[in-house]
Amino acid sequence: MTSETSPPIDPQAWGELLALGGEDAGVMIEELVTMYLEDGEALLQAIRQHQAAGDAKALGRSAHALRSPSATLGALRLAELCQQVELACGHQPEGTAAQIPIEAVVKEGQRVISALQQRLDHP
Amino acid sequence: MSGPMRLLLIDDDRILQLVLQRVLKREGAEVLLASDGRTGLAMAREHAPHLVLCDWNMEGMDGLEVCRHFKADPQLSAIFFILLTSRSEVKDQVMGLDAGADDFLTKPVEAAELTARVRAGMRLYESNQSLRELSLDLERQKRQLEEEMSRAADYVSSILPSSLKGPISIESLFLPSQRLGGDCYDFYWLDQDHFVVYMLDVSGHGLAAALPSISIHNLLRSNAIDSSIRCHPAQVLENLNAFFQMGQQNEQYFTIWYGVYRPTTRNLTYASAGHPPCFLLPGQAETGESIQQLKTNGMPIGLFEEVTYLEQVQSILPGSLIYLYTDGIYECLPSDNQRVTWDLDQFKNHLLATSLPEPPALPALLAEIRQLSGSPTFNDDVSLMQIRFSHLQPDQD
Repeated sequence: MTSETSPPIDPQAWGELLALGGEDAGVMIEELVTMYLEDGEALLQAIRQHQAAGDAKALGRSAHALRSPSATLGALRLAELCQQVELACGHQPEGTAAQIPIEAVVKEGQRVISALQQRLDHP
Repeated sequence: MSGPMRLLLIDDDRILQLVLQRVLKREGAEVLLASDGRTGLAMAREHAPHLVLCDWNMEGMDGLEVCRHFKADPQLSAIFFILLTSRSEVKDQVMGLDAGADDFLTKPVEAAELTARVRAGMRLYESNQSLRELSLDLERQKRQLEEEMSRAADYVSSILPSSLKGPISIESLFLPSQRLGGDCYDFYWLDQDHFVVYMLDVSGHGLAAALPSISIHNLLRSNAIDSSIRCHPAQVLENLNAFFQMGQQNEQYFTIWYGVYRPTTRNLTYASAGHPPCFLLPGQAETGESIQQLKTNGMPIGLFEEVTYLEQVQSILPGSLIYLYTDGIYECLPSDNQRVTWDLDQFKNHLLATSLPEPPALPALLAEIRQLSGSPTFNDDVSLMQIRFSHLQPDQD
């Protein structure tokens, strides 16, 4: 369980990711982070749009799509928040997505993107 | 295992795909990627992976459904299926197992655990393959054996005589059991005044019983036993016993009933060795009144070295009816129906009851016996011979 004070990138999870990468972890990390930065921005955008449009289903899908990669890259807090949104969307009747709070996801999402960008620039 | 391990990864998270692919490739595996269940199934059918790693939580078809599809398809069901899940509660695992999953991995995935489970999965897959191949092999051998038995049964049928018409009319029936027994019989004119008829039953089942029965049949047709001896049943049995001592014949023995009929005297000389009694329904005035049992005391052939066989003589009235058979016809499997008993006595009574006005045709008789015995199949060979001596007086032949 994460909290508001959790770092955007969990150090232990990041360490495990490096371990998974093995010898040329650096190359793998670069590839992954680049991919994430592309997808991540797009997904955060989609989340904002779907919420404004009141489309609970689409909002849920976007939150789901953001969750797993975030977890893989150690952004555990963000992953948890995405899961909460996903669950909330599951219980929401059509057209009422506007009530689901997405600010936390959006804010955390930006933090994660910045943190990852930093690691990419200064490995 | 021939070639590298082929692993199919089904996950809609392309970042995780990348990570896992890397780790697994380092282990020497060939990794295939699919982003959804349907694609995964199609790829599996085309590339036949050994293992599948499938995310539980996916859009469209979720992991459980993919798993069910895999396990329902005979082409894919043997593939080792690992569910990737962020759920670790017991009830989730139960759901996964019920859907047919072979193992679980919780996300986020740890490298060491991933490789260990994949390796373990591979080991299980390979041992399943060995078992499968063994089972196919056994099936093949079983079929082969059944075919061989069938061919052997056909051969035995082919050397048995068919019917005979004339002053002596004979109908015979040979029903080999599935396990093939050692039944055999024959009848023929040795010369103008000597008609030989016999029936035998070699102990055991399968080719071990059938082969000796065939060789005895050939022996009795050949000149290995002189024709002068072949007119004398007791001597024939003694000769056979000398030939077939059990110790030399794989612990086998056989029962036999052997008779020689002379039309000029109307005498039937016979000797038997452990075989069930021949049934005689006397003709003319005594028809329908009684059955005589024709049997001599004698050990089955091949059991003991020094055995003396005795013969008896029976006068045969015109119109008489004789039955020769093997024990398969009255030794049926016990039926579920407690009220039904079927034994030698019942068989005898039935033959007597059906002899008037005309003796039954053998197929009909067999059908009646199946019904009376309460068992539609016989668990041993069944042989049945019906000999009718014509009603004509000797001087009318």
